Amino acid sequence: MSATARAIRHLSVLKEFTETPGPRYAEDGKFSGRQFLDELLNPRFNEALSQDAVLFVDLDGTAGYATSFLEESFGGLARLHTAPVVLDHIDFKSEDEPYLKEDIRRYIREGEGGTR
Amino acid sequence: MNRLLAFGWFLGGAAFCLLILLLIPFQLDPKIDLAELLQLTVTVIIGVLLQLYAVRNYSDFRVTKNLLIERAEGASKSLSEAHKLFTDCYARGEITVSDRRAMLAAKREFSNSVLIFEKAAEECALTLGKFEQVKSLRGQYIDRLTGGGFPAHPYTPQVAGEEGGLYLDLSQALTSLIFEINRK
Repeated sequence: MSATARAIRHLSVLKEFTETPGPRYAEDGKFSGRQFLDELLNPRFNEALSQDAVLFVDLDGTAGYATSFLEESFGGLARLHTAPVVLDHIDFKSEDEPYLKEDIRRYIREGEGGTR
Repeated sequence: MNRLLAFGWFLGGAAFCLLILLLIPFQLDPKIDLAELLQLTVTVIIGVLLQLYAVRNYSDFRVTKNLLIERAEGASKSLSEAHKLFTDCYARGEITVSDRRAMLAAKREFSNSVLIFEKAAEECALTLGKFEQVKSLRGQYIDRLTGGGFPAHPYTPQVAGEEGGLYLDLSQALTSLIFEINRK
């Protein structure tokens, strides 16, 4: 089934998490990628997955994302669910920095082979 | 610029006509032949149309190439600013809150400048082989800027070495891209 035919669940980083996404791990600072994964991204992804919906993540409006934050959160999601499952149930909005969408898909593909 | 080019074409054409007149001896025939007059008129019109066509096409393509070169130079400038910021942070051995903010802005600026180039090349329907290399290097480069332990831990010598290598590769790829546009 194509992603466009499915129901869509929304997640806005700015409205639901923070304006200033932080480092990779919680011990390194506030609003970390790991915190985002554990508290928001993974629970919402599970919800979307159980309904065979697509989780639409709005990345706009923040001060910017470090690769470390994105690798930990989205790569971490791939380590929990496998890259094909994540790529099949996730989509992004990123008008502030359009290449982020490509970058995150790469972190998801590479993240599955990660160790942590 | 277009007017200057048109004037150049005009001068060239006039010089060419003068050369023909000097090389081919002839006498003015007071009789006016209608067929010859018609032939001359058609020849002049065709000449003017060909001249206009050549000037328009040549100058339009040059403008396109100049626009793309300008975009590539923009990407190169953003890259240099990000590299300078990285070098400063590495030399100081720390990443402060303002460094973090500046680095994220520089990363975004560089990525978006590459994207602006990509969109301009698409608009111009110009295929540039070097661009795929620039795009691939961009991903690797931003991973060195803000990956690993960023911003909680300072850059390591290993990351600094990788960043330096990628900066050189990207600079060379962008220069080659400009040459490629110019050769088109």
